[in-house]
Amino acid sequence: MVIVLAGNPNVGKSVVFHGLTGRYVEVSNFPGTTVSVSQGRLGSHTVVDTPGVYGLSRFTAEERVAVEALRTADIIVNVVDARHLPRDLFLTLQLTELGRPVVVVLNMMDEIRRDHVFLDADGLEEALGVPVLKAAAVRGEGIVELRQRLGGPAGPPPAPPMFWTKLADPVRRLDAIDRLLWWEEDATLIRTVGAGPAPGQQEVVYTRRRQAADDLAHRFFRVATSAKWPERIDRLLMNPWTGLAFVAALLVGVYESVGVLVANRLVGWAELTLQSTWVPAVETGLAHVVTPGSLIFRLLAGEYGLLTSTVTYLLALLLPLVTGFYLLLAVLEDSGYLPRLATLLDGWFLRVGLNGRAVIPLVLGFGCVTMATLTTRILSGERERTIVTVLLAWTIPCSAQMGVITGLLAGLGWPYALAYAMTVLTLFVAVGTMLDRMLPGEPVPLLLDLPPLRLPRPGNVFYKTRQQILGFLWEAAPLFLMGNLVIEMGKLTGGLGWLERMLGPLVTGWLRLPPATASAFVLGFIRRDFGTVALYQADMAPHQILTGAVTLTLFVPCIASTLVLFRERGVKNGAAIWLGSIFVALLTGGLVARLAP
Amino acid sequence: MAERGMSMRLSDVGRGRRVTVVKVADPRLRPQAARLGIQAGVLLLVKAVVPQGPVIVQTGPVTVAVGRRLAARIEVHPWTRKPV
Repeated sequence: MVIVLAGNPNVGKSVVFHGLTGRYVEVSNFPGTTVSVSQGRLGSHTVVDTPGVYGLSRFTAEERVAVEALRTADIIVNVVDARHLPRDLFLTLQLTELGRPVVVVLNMMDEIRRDHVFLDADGLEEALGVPVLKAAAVRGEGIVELRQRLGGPAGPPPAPPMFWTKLADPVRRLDAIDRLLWWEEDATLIRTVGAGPAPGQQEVVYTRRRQAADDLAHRFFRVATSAKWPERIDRLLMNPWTGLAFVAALLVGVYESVGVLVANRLVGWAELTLQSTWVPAVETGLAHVVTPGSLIFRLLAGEYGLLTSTVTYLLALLLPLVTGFYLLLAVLEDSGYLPRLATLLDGWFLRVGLNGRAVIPLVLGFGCVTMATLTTRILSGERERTIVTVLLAWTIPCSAQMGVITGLLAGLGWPYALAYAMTVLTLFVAVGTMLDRMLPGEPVPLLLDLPPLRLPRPGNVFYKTRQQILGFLWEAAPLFLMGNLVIEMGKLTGGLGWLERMLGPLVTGWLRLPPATASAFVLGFIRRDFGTVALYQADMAPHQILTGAVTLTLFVPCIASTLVLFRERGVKNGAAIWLGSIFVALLTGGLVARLAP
Repeated sequence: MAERGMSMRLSDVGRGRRVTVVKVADPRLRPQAARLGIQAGVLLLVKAVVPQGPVIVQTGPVTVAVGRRLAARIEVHPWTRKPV
């Protein structure tokens, strides 16, 4: 039997899914973070988690994914944010029209109790004609009851709404989901049926459903006056002055915590520790087995040795930095701050052809550009997706790279950090404006649900960070080994020297960097941050570090995000974006080299 | 009553005002707006207005940021306690 979880965005579907199947899906306080479908098992049943949607049709990628998943459902579990019952009931009513058994889970009941909200679950159960369970999935409450309910026999599907019985034949014979899509004026189904609903009918159905939802909410749900502090904070966060001041404070906080504390102190300490204990131990140990100076010895314990420098960079440098960034991002996501940021920046984003929603992939890009490129699916249209993908590939440094860059620049003092930020920001605006002018059409206006602000939950933040660090090590470690192997082999065969001579004029002449940094660019192809790590080693003047940091930020995305880029944008556009990044990186880098004091 | 002639755009409504929606004149976003509870006949409280930016409205317990260009296409009436 197939159990499909469905609900509005940000209602805790992923937590319920985890409770049922033991499988972890990323959880955040931002609408629309589940873009694809996750599957798990509950006994002999398959459980499917779907992206959050406000209604069923095929307007957006999430809705298309959710609708297709619901076709396979034997039972639908509708997860509802009890605090938002009037909103969520709209989808609940649609789901009960699909001719399949439905179980409604009222989630977030802990907050309902805390805020003394009146919610009559029994009354709702009777009115809807489907089982209604209470839960607080984050605390594990109600999961056992849900499991039991799903283990027992499924109830009958709810009765179809009255107006369906009045439908003419081709429509009545459609599958319940197709019938719903036909009402939604879905182009494919209008073609199948041969005619659409009468003009204005869709609105009539919508209004009727909305009214039914409001009636239910009115009878079974009453909000107590809510606490005032989230309201006040909300207002401050979205006021242009205080809001931007908060963004600035946040950036300074990141600079101080990740840049100074983690990147300099912690990394310095970790590096020193590993270099004085682990590295000599490996060298002496290895000397017993392999002749020092031989090919294998150099591959394993040489300058880019797999067991020495690779391990040191990965564990002492990249790991603390990446952890710092993921932790910060997890806190921001879980608190519900990002939609506020989206709202605050909407007016500005319109100037680069985007609406505030684009904040999400862009901010996530600071975590991992690859993942962020996938999240561009939440954007309203192709135009927005193209613009954001280009901006991500060109101007957004990922956490690993950002960590290293912050570390490098923090060593130089804040004027350099500021110069770096301004250069990248200027380019961001220039590229966005250019694309906005070039691409036909105009940005779709913002329409964004603002989830309540909440204190980040340590559990969520911890899980999310852990998951991302594991992903990072899983993805980064092999590539890093490979990259260092390539470099070391290049050194031994003289290939690297040749490449450095080839790139020499570009690196020394145009970018005015030491010839040795050519290897940074070679490494940058493999993973963006590796290139930046290579800058650490080169002996450079402050303005050269700035040039290097800017150029490598804009330089080609890593292998993983290149693959995603090609998959999402197609070979032609993907290649154009990829080559464009090299051109833009070198152009900007050269200018910085000439203009920086 | 005079209300008929007092129709205005959501983008012109000040903070703290209550309005009822007359029409969402953007066919592309109308269904999405309806799902978030913004549709003809609904009472909205304007919670905040970001200058040059979105209008933040509350309907029931749900808070929604409405982009300025969309807000300019949502026709509203000032809300009066006594229904006409």
